Amino acid sequence: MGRRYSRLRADLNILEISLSSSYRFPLLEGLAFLYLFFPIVFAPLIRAPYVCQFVSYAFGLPVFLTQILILVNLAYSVASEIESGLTQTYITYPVKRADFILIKILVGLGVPITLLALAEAIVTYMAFSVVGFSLDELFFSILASLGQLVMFALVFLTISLLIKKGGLALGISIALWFILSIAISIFSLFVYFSGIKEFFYLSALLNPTNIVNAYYAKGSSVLPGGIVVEPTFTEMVLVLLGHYAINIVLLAIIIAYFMRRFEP
Amino acid sequence: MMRLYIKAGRIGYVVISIALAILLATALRFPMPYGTDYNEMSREYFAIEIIHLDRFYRYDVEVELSKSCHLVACIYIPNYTRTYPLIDVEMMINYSAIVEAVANCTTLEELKDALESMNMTAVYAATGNYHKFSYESKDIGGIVVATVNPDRDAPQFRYASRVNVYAIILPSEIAYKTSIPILALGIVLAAGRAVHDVKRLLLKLKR
Repeated sequence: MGRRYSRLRADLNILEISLSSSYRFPLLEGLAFLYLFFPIVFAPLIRAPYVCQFVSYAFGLPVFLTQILILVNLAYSVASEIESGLTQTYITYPVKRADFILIKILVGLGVPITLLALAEAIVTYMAFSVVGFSLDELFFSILASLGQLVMFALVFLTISLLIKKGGLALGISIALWFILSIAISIFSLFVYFSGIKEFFYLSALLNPTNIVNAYYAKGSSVLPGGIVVEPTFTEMVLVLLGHYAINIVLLAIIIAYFMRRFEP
Repeated sequence: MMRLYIKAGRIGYVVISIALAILLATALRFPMPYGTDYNEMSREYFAIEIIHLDRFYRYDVEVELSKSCHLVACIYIPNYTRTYPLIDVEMMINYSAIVEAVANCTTLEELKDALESMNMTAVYAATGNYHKFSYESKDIGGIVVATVNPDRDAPQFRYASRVNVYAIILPSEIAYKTSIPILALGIVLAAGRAVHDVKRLLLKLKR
């Protein structure tokens, strides 16, 4: 019992240190303010009759900023700490390696993503409460908008763990971010021009916003030749689950690597 | 427990920031800049402006005219975008039918009847250079604003020089209803830490 308690205390201490070093006052407060301020100010300019479209358009900039924040956070709180030997010190504490990496993920990814999801929920509720919307549309739209962000963040984390140098990890992550974004865009273009529905589902595994839009904004996803992509609810949920399954596998690989192979 | 409450005060600060962002952004948000989509009609009697909207709920319509005119606002074009998202609302609003109906009318009464037969609700405003009215509905796809110069028997139209439609998609009441409880929660969560921070600041200043 005493051992578990001390481990919990150590976990909490690391969590506290990580939080205060990654988000010095008033970074988090300012971020929360901006996440809500800009979408509300610009919301009247957005012509999006559906929740899924509104979330995509209104939160384009906050999602981009979150991506940068996660990138910098992981490079400096993971790679730089490995470089300076701090991680080695941490894992000599009575703390499990899995706990340690999960705390880093929680602080680096969990906090900004939770804040973004909260902002998306509040602004969308305000914008659509008079018109009416379904909770499942809101839930799946938010889930879809965060999916790719989580996927990229896990790739950045892998790079930080492998490179072990803050500046270099940051540079490589930025380069990879551009490469991945361009590759996904090219793939989406290929899917569009191929006109094959199955490819659409495949591309939605990488960018689930497409399938949520296709389901809720019925008829909005039209491939050349007038082929309308109209997924069923089950298909949409399956693609979203598939996308998050990829993320979970990535996360499991990272944790397994950190527990078994990682040498600080 | 007290220590944990003070440490968790950052959450309170974040919650307060969220509430302040909602309040400030609501006050500063862009007005709906829906201009006129279709305004080059040259009919004999009435000038009309047709504005189509996607899904909005409340319109504060301001019409400033180049000269004193009678305003007829004809509202209620069903919101086709909800039903047929593939088809652009511009295609669904039958402009030519509206224009034809308006063009053949010579009196306000005729205009009202013509528009009501097209399933539109007509709202009349008094004569003047400046007209303002609000309309609320969940099922609006568009709005027609017609102006007529009452000084002439067979009035030639004068354009509405400016028609601003403010679709309030983030109504202030909702912003207040949302942000006040959030602000209250934030204050409760942050109180301990705020007191602690102020005390620390005062100590620093004393030194």
